[in-house]
Amino acid sequence: MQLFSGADRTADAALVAGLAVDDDAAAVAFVRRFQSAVFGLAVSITHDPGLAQDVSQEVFVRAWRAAGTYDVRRGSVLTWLLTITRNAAIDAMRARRPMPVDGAVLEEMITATLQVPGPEDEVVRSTERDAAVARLRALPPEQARAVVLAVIGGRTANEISVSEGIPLGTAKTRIRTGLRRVREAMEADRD
Amino acid sequence: MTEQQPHLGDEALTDLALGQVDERLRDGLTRHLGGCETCRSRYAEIADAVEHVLVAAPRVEPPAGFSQRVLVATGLGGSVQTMRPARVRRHHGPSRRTALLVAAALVVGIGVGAAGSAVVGRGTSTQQVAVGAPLRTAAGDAVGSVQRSWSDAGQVLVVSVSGGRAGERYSCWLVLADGSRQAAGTWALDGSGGGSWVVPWPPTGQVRSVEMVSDSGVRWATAQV
Ligand SMILES: [Zn+2]
Repeated sequence: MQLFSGADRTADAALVAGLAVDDDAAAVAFVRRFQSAVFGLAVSITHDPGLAQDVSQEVFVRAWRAAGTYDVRRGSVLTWLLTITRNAAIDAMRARRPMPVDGAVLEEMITATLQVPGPEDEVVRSTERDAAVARLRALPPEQARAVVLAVIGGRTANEISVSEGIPLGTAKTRIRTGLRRVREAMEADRD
Repeated sequence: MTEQQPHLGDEALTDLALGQVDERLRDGLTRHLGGCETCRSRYAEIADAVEHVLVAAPRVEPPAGFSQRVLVATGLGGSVQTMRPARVRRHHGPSRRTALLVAAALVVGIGVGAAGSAVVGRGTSTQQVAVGAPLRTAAGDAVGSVQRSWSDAGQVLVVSVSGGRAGERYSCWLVLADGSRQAAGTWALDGSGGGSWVVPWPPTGQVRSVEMVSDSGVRWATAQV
């Protein structure tokens, strides 16, 4: 009989299953496990801790409502939550009056994403994140920047062309090529 | 039909995966994807890369008390439990609240039971909600449920008991379509007579029913899957 290799996998299975256990402490543990990832992404997109907190709360509420439709075959609980986060944060930004984002703030976000985690980050480390950071760092820097701005910063190609000082077509090509390379690296590792 | 239309370009697919397509265009693109396997698989690759990159987002701890705020927002508060009547069947399919809770229980790492089944959580009260196929005693009393699900290890069954005797031990048996039986593990119910377990779907054969059998060999409860 097959053993599950880790808590994550069984968590994924059970998240879909939707069976009955009443334990608020366990729900708190779930939120705490994922809150720094969800809030971190929300901050990266909104650059506003207050709005990011509202967004993150909304994400967990949406996740709770949608747990029945979650399909573990498509990915981990973490990527599922982060996809919801990205959509919610971008929606929240669109609902606001558009405000230009300070270039220094974007620069900080790119640096925070691409830096190699130090030993002091041990507590919040995840191997899943380490792998993703490594793949971004393996890209040509200009592609890594464009991909980070588009995916983690939620910026449009247009906004990226402005902030990077490049033509729109170039911005789009960098995003596309960068994503394709990430995908190829993922596939190479799978083989 | 859409098969006659030219395939979508990488640019359009990337914009779609990044959510950067306005609504009117999006409908056309998704309609094409719905009818075109080629574009759908290319789209899935791009979306996969986007999801992978998302994981690299910097981690930032939210302000203290955040998890409590979420609980309040989802209606999960200490007082909510006592307001719920016992053993209610919900109207909207699987309980989403409990799905989250079960995942949470797993994240906490409650442990792995005998015979390769993972213990996923413990019922803490008699207010369990029946979802999936009901697990019933011969007398017809509902004492839990069995739900089909998926993990990345494949298909699984989630067996949940809520109306048993505290500490009682049961063996779980899968009865296959050909009438053969497979042991899925032996578990003791917790102090409130409950428990939940994830059982891998057997590699051969269709599971017809799930039986919980007591140590003395008496069949206690059955669920038709
Ligand atoms: Zn096509």
